[in-house]
Amino acid sequence: MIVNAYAVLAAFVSLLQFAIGLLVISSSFGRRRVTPARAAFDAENRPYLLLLLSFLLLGLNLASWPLLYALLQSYVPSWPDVMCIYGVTRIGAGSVGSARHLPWLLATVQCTKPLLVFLGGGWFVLYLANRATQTAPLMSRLLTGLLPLGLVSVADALCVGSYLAIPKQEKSLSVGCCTSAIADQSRFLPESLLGAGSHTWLTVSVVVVVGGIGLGLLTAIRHGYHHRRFLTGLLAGTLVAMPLGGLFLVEIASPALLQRPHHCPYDLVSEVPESVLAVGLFTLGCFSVGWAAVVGWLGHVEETQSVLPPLIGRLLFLGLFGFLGSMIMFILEFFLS
Amino acid sequence: MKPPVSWWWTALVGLVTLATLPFAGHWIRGDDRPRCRWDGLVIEAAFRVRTGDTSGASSGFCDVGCARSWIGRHPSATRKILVTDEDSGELIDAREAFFVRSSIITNRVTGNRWHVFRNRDRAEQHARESRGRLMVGSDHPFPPSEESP
Repeated sequence: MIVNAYAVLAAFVSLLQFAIGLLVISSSFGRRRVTPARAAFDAENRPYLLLLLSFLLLGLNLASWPLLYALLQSYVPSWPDVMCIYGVTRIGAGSVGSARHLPWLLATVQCTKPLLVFLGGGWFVLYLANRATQTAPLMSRLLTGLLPLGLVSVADALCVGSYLAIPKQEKSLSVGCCTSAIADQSRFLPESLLGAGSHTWLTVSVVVVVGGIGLGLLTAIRHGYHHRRFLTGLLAGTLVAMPLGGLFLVEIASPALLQRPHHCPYDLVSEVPESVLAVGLFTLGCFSVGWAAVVGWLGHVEETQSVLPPLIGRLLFLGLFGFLGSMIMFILEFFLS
Repeated sequence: MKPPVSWWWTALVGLVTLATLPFAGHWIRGDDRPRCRWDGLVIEAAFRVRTGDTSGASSGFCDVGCARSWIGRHPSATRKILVTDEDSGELIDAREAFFVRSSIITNRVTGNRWHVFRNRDRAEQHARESRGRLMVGSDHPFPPSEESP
């Protein structure tokens, strides 16, 4: 276990995530088992506690995402062969001890963090739609939505806690063999995923897809197309844009911005920090379209018919801002590189 | 719902602000010191390696290890390799240099243990004094096949 300020902070946040996640899950289940005598009392009071806990959980989940990368960056100097976060993510690969669990734990956590932010954001926009109504018709859906949020939070906290607790000392079968050790260092270097010949079609695909989403968002915002079919189309485009954007970041953006043949987006955190904001804006754009689709599908009841269009419009506007901001920043970064 | 005009203006100001960040980042990071093409470290003159490629462009590396890694990825592009004699600090052709791999690490980050000498006697002396080995033949860091004429 490597103890530094980030590890202590990450452990504390994970502990809170775990405890509050369990509370949210138990309260979410508990609301279904209330006795008739207490039903009125519980219906009045329990949601408020749950909502307050949920806001706290949302904040913790959001804070824990950048904290994870700050933690991994702080671990870089711990091994002489490791030069960036990518190397930290490979520690334990091929090991026979408990350290062999480290890579998959980190991979899981890197998936659950954005998932938590997306789930939390989706839940929050549903809450906003519900708050704008007179009789809170979405309260039941809101309380039900807390269950997956709590479950993923608990799973994420367990993974981070396990990652922190496992000793990061590799025990390899090839210890003692210099040749194997030297050859094994290549695992700390991120490789290209697609090969050199793929750059043109990948760039064209990203430009076409993101440009298409941008035009779709502009049309939806200007003409007020907020019906579910249009949102589904935008969401489908975003689902294509996310993996394409990830590939573009690894294959083209990282080597170009770093000016070296490393296909490592993690290096951008320390060397071109403003590009992390561009990645964040792209994620915001994708998530905003997703949240608009969530509220368009799950928040659609009679009482919210006047509430949803402005809310969806704001989310789509935020999405357009995210995509445009990301593209402008990346284009300028390429130009300056 | 059509967003009010103020939203568009706010977004425009936000986008212009975002557009200034790459310029600000490059200005803050402004650093004219030459950096390694492989790992981005500042190149120390005593251990620098320079390669010339088929297009006439040259690449600088912080040590022999980085240059080998780069050439390993771009074998056909490399035409000429220049390494630095540790004694004089002068760049010499890799074919004329003597390479020693010893216990002395020149760079803690890269863990480089390659040492370059113009003179064979100096290379052997360094190998003796630093528990190293003269790397010739198949052990040469840049075997002839990697140095196309």
